Amino acid sequence: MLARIMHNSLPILLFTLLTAPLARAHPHVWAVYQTDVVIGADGNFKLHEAWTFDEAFSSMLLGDLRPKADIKKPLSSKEQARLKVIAFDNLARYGYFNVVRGPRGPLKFKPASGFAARLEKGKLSYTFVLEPADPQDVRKAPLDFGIWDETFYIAMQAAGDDTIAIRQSPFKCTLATREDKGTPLLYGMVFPPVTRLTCR
Amino acid sequence: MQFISSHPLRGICGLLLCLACIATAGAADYFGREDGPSPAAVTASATGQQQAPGAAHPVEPPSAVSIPEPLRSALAATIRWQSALNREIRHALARQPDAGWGGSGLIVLLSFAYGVLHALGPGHGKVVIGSYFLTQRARISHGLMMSGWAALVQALSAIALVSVLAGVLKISAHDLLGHAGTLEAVSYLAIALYGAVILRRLGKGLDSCGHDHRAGTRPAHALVPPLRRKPGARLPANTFNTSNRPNPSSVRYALPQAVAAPASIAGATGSTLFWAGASVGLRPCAGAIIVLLFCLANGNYGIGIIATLAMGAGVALTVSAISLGMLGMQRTLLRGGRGKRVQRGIAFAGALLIMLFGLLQAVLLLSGTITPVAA
Repeated sequence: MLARIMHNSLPILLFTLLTAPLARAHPHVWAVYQTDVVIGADGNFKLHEAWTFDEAFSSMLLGDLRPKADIKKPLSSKEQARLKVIAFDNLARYGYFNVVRGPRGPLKFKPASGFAARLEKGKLSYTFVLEPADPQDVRKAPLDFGIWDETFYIAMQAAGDDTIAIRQSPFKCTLATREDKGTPLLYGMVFPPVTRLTCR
Repeated sequence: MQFISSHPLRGICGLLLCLACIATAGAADYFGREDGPSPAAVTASATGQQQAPGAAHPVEPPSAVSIPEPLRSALAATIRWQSALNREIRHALARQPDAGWGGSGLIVLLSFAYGVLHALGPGHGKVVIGSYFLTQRARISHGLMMSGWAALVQALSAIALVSVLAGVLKISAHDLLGHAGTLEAVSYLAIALYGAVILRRLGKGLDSCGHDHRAGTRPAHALVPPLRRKPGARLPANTFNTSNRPNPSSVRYALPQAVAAPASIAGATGSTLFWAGASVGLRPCAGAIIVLLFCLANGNYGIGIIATLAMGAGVALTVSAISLGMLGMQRTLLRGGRGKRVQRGIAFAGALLIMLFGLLQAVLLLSGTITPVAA
């Protein structure tokens, strides 16, 4: 009996290890993002991001901010500062879910600047600016941009077809969007869109 | 061990629940990610990938298991539909106080559909319930009952958490999600324990539900055992005689299966299904918690509860279908006249899988390798 159990355990152990992360994937929060790229004269770029959360998630955050989750009153600067501490700063550890790949792999970012939050029609929006930790030159090589939470707890959806829009550029740039087949989210159920920025 | 065999999970479940209450909350942030700056922990995030400290870029998770193609596309569509449904539900809830009965009906319908889709994705309940029905001797009614009960427990778990912690104790949503995350660890420990109980029963020569299936032994089980039961086939004389409830009118064994079925739910089988469903469903769904909190703040908590139950009904439908599929697969695979030894081997493997799955998840959670979040 024991021998049979031992005989069975190895493949089962392997299977268990493989299926273990399966238990932890579902979208629960939905957010729409709009990312504008601002390119400087030196070729470095900044990302101006706006994330809008769904009504329920917005209401939940407000409930922790205000005694009564009043979704009509605008956020005071004090409330925005508090929101940044409780529900934004921690995202720095996860690169704010931003993925920018250059020729030498993914880029790192400085901590976000210019954080602001506002309420509109019961939905909470964050706006902030991201800047690469090391200055880049967009003319040298194309860059791929995308935003996703690889655990898929939060489903990040691009506002438009592309993941980025060019707000300002001294150069001639083009955008091309594709599904990133190299990034299977939820075991390949979702391939996030990435947009390639090519400038000359 | 005597304790375990007489009352499978009862006492230990109580113990685990106490543990859940005293455990510290707030391990995850609002985005289901590990909270607070601790440089040591930054190297491993929820999916176990490497990350540099600071504003690092998240590296893609290793794709250990990838879903094969036709299924993948179908599941990908369900994710898109879920997003659309979710948007509609949350819009509808936001304007519900003005929408009247029509609006409420719509919310219930949308929530049900959302539950059906939500349960289609990968999840811990399907690993456990699916493994159970793929490997253990069970009846169709058990598949339906265990799935329905697990979904109901999951809905009630979210409702109870929000009602008590947010409604009465007024704790923050952040801490509430933390408590929900703790329930996750408790749920996995209970699942591991459940697997161990099945293993022990199998080791003693009993069925996974505690019945004796050996031929020729005295009072047999109420579960109609044969994997391939043909209509009109002769059943052993003691088939419908329950071990723990001697039936004076044992002539009823000649009646069709449907008549005898309710008796089998009593006793060991009922208790097994009860605890299996409860351990799987203990972990509430974060989506349900968020919607309930929304309704609580919005002044329409009643419809939130109804929507959560409707979502649970949808989940039950999907999980039932999966468990029946697994049961069907098992019966098909064993049709080739393979004997009891194969069946028992498979049953052992399944029980071991359930136990290891629960243990592994619990260890990963308790060691901080993965962050506890509500499902």
